[in-house]
Amino acid sequence: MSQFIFRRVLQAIPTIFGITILTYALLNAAPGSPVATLAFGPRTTTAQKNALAEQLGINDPVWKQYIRWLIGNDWQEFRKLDGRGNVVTDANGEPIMERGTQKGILRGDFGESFTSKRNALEVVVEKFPATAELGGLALLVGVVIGIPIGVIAAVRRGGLFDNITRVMAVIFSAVPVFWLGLTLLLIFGSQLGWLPMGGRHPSDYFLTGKVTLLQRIEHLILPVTVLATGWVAIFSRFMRASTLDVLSQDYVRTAQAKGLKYHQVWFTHAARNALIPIATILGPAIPGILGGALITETIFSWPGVGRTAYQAVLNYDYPVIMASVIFVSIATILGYLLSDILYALIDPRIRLS
Amino acid sequence: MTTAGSSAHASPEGAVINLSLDEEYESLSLWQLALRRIRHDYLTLGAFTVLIILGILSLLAPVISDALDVSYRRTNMENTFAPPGSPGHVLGTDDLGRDELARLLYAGQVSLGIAFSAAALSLLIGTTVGVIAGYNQGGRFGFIDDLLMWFVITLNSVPSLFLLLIIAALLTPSVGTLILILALLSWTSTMRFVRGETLSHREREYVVSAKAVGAKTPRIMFIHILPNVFSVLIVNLASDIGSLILVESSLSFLNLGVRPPTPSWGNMLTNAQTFFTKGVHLVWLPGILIVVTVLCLYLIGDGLRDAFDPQASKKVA
Repeated sequence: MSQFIFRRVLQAIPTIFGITILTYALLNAAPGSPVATLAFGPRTTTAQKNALAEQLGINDPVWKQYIRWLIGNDWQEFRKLDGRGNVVTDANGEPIMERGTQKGILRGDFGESFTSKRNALEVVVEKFPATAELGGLALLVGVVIGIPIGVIAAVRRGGLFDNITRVMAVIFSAVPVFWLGLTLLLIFGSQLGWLPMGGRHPSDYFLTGKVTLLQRIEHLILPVTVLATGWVAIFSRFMRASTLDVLSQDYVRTAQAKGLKYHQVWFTHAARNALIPIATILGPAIPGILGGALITETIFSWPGVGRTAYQAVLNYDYPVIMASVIFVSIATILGYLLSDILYALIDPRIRLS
Repeated sequence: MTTAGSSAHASPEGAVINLSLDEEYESLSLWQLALRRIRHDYLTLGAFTVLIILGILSLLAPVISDALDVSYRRTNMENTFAPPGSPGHVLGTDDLGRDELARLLYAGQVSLGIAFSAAALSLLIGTTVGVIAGYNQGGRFGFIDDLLMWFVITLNSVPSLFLLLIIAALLTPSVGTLILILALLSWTSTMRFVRGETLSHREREYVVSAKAVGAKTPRIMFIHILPNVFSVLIVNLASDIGSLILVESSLSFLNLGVRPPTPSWGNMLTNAQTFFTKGVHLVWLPGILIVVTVLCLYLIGDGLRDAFDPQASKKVA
């Protein structure tokens, strides 16, 4: 097992490098320059802009910027700048040189956010609890509702419940996430006024710092509903197929034939095997939560990783974009690894190799 | 197919007729069989009809807006948020007083056009790369397959919405580049499928015999293997188009896809939250059109899958 995990982690390394190259190449193919956004001000001179670009390292060739981003720039010297982008000179009029401060991502430094001037990784990671709260709850709701639906649909196969849930699953898969969120907001937030219009806390939270459990739940209901509908559809479909598969097995027929009660057959014999395929969707669920949450978080102003990434993209905040992409990608790779391990733990017939 | 010899020893006339009917039935092609099954699948036919109507209405957008004397870009700040059924505007007007019906129809052109073109392009890329990778796997040019698979795994490890967001935000795409971007990010699943199929096809007798008579590698890949893999792919095309409509509308909603003033069902919803109190129809109408279109495409996809592979549907149902 440990050998398997070790090898999978090793295999992930070229993938992660691929991801960094891919995103870096994309960012550099873009026409928009962060200097334009950063130094946007009527009184910023060309000299100040150039000095700023030099300090940000944007004028260097792509490969040099990429390497610097990997291993840092504390081995290079730059002209010292003041807060407005002016070159600081010594008494002789010579520019004062100083060493770069970045350590590079290989040493755990994702650089500074262009907009907030804070550590880029920190900007992303501090949003993780909010994302995990939303995504985790949605996944939980999806499992708790979706699995029983799938089982009942399979047991009453071809019946009314089965047909209704299947039609519902197709319809919901055709509804765009953002529109579902909008209509729920329209009905429950705007027209009925039952639930808040978004955010994680009531608007006076930042003044009072007080939030009750009820208020937190109120803010969670709509975004969790939006994310959970997708999971319910996926889990019910998977569970229906795998239950049908298990119910036609010989050992289930044997259990029925020897006169066991229905719930005994189901819970002690069939359920454990029917649940195995669920492990395969739990891994891909992680990027699903983060990716799907990007739209949900934006609509409900939920302060999570997805919304942060979206705002970073709009602001051309390269370090934060990179940090969020790497964060989410590593979560994806770990998710797949986790689901493989889980699969092997649940099903002893599978040998990892 | 009925030879003189086989009909000779079937002496009762009925048997002969049955035999020949059976043989005629057997000789139907995959497509003919599928067509025969779909003819009785009213759900799929219904979905197809709705989709065709939507497509025709969208294509006729200029004609319809001329006939109703409305325009999708003429603003009228004195008649904003008119409700459906207002005089002169069947489905009301939007926040700038533009006719909602005309905008929905033009947006349909854009959304359907983007999804169909992107799906076709992604199919083209996916099959070509898939056949090349699969055919060369483990061979003299095996490094091509290794490299392509590394690229595909890398691409799949980044949630596609993140990638789309970055590309769309940085390139500010036109409709043409948007099609290209969507296609470039959605070909990987087709590629993996085709690669797997090619791996199994290249060991079959017809490929071996093609090699034996001296066919060149490109000929084997694209003239012999490709047609055999392709028919299975067509089946997935409908649901792929549906998914692409969802992706395009999400991007446009986030204001990173189709940019105003060009309407798309997604970007008509960008400011939906400000319409909540003034014009609810502006929230409902574009969304309902997206749902109906995607639903039809998914139903057609399911229907086609059943039609081409009846065994598969029996296993699932």
